[in-house]
Amino acid sequence: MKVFPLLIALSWFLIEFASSSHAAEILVFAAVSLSEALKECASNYQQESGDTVSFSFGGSNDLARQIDAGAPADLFFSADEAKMDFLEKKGRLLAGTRRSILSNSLVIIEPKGAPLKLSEATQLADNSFVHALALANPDAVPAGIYAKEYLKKIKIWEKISAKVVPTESVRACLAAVESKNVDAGIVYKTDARISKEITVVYEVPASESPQISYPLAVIKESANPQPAERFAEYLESREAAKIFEKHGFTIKE
Amino acid sequence: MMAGHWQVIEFTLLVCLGSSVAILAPGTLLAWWLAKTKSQWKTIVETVVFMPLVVPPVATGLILLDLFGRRGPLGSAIRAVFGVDVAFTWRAVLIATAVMSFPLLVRSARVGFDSVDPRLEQIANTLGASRSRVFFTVTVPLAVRGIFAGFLLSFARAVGEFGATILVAGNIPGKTTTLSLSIYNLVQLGKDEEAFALVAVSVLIAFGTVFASELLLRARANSK
Amino acid sequence: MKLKFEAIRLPLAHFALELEFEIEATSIGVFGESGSGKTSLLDLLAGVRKAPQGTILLNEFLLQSNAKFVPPNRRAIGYVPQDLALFPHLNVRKNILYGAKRASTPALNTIAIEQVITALNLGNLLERRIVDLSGGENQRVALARAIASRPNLILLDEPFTALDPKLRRTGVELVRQLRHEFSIPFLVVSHSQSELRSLCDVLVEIGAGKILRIYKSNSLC
Repeated sequence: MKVFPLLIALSWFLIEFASSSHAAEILVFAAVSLSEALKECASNYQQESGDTVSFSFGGSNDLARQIDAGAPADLFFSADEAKMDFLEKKGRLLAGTRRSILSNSLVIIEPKGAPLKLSEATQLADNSFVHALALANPDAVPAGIYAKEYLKKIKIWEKISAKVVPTESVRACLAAVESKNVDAGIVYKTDARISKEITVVYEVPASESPQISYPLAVIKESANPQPAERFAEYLESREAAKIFEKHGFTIKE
Repeated sequence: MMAGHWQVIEFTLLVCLGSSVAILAPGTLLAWWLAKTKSQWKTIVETVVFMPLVVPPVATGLILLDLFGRRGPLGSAIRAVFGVDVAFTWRAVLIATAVMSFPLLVRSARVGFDSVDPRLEQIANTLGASRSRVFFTVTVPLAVRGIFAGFLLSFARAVGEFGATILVAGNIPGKTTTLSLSIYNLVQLGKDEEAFALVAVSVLIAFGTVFASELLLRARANSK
Repeated sequence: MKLKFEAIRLPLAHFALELEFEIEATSIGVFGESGSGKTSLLDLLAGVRKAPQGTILLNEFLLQSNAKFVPPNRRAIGYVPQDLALFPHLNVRKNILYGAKRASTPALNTIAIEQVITALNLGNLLERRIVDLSGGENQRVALARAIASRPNLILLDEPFTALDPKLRRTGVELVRQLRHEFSIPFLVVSHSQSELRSLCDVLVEIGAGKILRIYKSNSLC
């Protein structure tokens, strides 16, 4: 029976050793709209795997530029395909690791307690409703690009483009509406959920909305490609899907 | 509320102290050369040194990114020899703050050196002191207030650095986010209260160092 | 000492300093109007300025020639300039001791620093800051500093001009005394012939950068 404690010690040692030999630190560059969902996924994943996941959240365009310039990201989770295409063309992605797993929808929001609430998207063109409309930079940031595409589709882009206040990211757009410095903004449904200072006045229906897609890929120059891929696989799991759905994302099948 | 921010403050102070210390010797020597030399290169050197003060910081940042990025001439060389990255790491923050604050050190130290009576250096020579002994025992002690004031000013400038840093070091939480970048992030996310707390910290640091620097320069003027 | 200037030419603001002479004396006095080039002569001797042409020899030791230039820290020539140039960041003691490590000849080694301090009556001023001293005290410190470096020659530029008449007499007496006590040759520049005559055995009159005449003074030194 003296063997028993020895076995326990040995297995404890093996488990410790096994998990520490896996303990990697990965850096994920991700679109800021994914902040809460990804942090929750990461915290579960860290407990299960022993790896550490850290994030740099921002506008997908800024992140893509930094990755192209050599920033030490292991994984890139973008809010649109275009930024991923950009990196793929430049040869920055690890072949075979790109996949698109999430989608989102757009909403029009106003500051809480705003006097006039619009009931139709086309009312954005009406100056008595909206003097200033915040959008994540419609020339560069995915959320703004999607919004511009939508506004063009419903044929009011020309009328409202002069009223647009471009922001650095979709969360900055949210903050601009919260601050009441603008009359309205267009953000993702998932962003609107986290704020109590705004009201969602209109949800863009799927039939009219542009195709929103969040791709994910491992960076070729990553120092930890296997742990990065393992985390990416986790993000495709059922468990992660539940977390994303909870935060308002839709899973792409 | 301040919990997560201590890391940023600590990181900022450490890196800025590091960059101010790193530029101290070269900046002081350059200031001395500028004060003493009659070379035709003097004006060109003065102008180049002055550049980071007047060129838009983001422009300087872009130049640094070009040089120190993984694919840039200096960045790839460093990677080859030392195996480390510069861009998007704390090293880039240190380089950006060093470059941006260098002109302030040089100008202030130069004022210090200009105020040293050359007669004193000559006499020290006649008393048998070699040029380096004169430099360390006469020139530097008499210029030290200007040098130290320059050190403090460059430190304050480093702490306030934003434009160059954000381009060449990015804004990676826990790795390259500085006090200024943090304020920017918080404002972008509408977290004004936290932003103002950090603004207060940065104003405190800036006020403290510039005040000390002014006291030093005034003391030097009075003692003459 | 034996001092030889050969074909020295140094362009100055309004004229060129041209010196050609050979003097053997225990101390030399140089006088002339302000702006006649006296201080530049001292600068050339000290090595603080370099003449583009010419040769200077002190006791057969070459200080400069067309080909060679000995820097000031290797000339062992002490200098007490008109503005004294005391180090404001050092106290009296440290000023005096600044050049003290150098001993150019074994004979001069016998000059003890204590002796210098006593001779110039500086014993109780050692810890004072330069800014706290009077004009006369400053001068004694400058002299002590020069002597303590044990030079082969001490240059004095207008040492008495800034002093009032009473201090001036004391000053002249002091310098004479120091010459005897420490046996270091002096070269004194002044615009007052009479003071120099009582101090030096050879006088040089200089005007507009040229030597006008050299003659032996008749006083006992």
